[in-house]
Amino acid sequence: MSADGGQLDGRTVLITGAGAGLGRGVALAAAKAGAHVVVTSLSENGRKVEAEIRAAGGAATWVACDVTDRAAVEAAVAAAVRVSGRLDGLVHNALARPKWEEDPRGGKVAELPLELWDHEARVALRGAYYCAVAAHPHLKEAKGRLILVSSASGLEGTPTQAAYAACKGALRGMTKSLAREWGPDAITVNSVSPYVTTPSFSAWWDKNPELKAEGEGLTALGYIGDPEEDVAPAFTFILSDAAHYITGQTFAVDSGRYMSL
Amino acid sequence: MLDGSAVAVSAAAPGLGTKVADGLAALGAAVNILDGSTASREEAIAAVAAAKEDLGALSAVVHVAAVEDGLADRPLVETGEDAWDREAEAPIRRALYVMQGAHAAFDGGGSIVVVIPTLALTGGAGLVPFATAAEGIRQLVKSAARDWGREGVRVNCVALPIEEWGFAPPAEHRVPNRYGPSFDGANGGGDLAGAVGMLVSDLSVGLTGGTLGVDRGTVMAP
Repeated sequence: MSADGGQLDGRTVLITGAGAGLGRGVALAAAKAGAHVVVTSLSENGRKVEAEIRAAGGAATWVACDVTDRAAVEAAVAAAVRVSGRLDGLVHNALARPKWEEDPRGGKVAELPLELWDHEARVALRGAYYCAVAAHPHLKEAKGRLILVSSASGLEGTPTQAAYAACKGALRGMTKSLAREWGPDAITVNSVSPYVTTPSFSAWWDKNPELKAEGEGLTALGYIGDPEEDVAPAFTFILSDAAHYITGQTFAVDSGRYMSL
Repeated sequence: MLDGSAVAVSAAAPGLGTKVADGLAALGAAVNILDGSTASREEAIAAVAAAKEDLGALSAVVHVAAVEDGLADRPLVETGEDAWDREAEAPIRRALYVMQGAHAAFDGGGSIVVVIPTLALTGGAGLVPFATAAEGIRQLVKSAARDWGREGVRVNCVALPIEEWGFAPPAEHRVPNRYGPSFDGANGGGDLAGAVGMLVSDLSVGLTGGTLGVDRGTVMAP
């Protein structure tokens, strides 16, 4: 299944939060590029992504994984190595289910309670720590790739999702530091800041269509992209040999929303 | 510069906190170093409120990000979960709590300055957790700046070399820089207080959500 040029032929890539949205798109694109994709997800939806990839002639293995559970992360990494003998890339994409709408204190800094902070940090930060430590020996052996998914909020802050923004920014700090620490191991570490249409965004926009137009208005290209078609190719590139010289960077794959560097 | 200003300093890093406090006092501010824990939201709110009572007013809060028990150069793969929490997540939580305490205590506006290492901008091998925290704090500051600007509350970061925390990374983990500092002189002290003082004062009335590098022109981040 190397219709896209086989940039990832022979590679094994583990993606967290791959049951839907961006993670699913990255998984489908990586499989098309020839990777054996280890689809991990908290719920059963990852099994459908596995089936989708296999139906298209690709290689995929679904592993249930709660990234807030260290043993589960270690088991997912071990499963990836077991099925293919290697791990070339790990994409930490899993995201906490948004709670700021249902919590009356909202996501604003002034009232942000510990529970909401922990809700975000357990998945984004602690999950990244578990993933990085578990994957390191295998990535070292493969001279592989670690990708941490950030957000525009992790670049410019956001007044309504303070914990999310802090966590996504923190992942960029982790990206830069691990890139330096793991450079001698020939592991590259990068971050992607996507602006992408996801099921949760779509549901939100259905209720608030004016917000979609507002979001599109933030972009240079005038639209918010599809996970597989518009955003995932950047992940495939970073995971490929072509990106071996790039590390410690944040790729804004966002229709030209953020250009402030 | 700061005559009439009342500033509370959260000294999670005692040496650096004292340096900030002394420097601001030399610029004319009335300064109170927070007494008591800031390890929870409730404690931080109480500590800032007590400082305000002691000062009789509150125009600014300065928080120095730090790691409880100090920094350690250590590969991430040898970093245990307790250390990860202490060095990566707890400093963000503490910055959040102090900012919440400041916001609750301000009457009609004020300035918050959070002091972080330039590792937030450059990354740093051997200090992955604290660098992670520092960049997270920088985004927390931007979020607060966006949310509180119309209330008259400005929020900014000052970024200093990690050596200011009394920690010298081993040679192999120093962040390489082709140029080094652009001029000589002791960092910290007067130049640190000058930058923080400017952000505390009305001289920076149009500045919020920013990061001011006080590193003698070493990093020059975009």
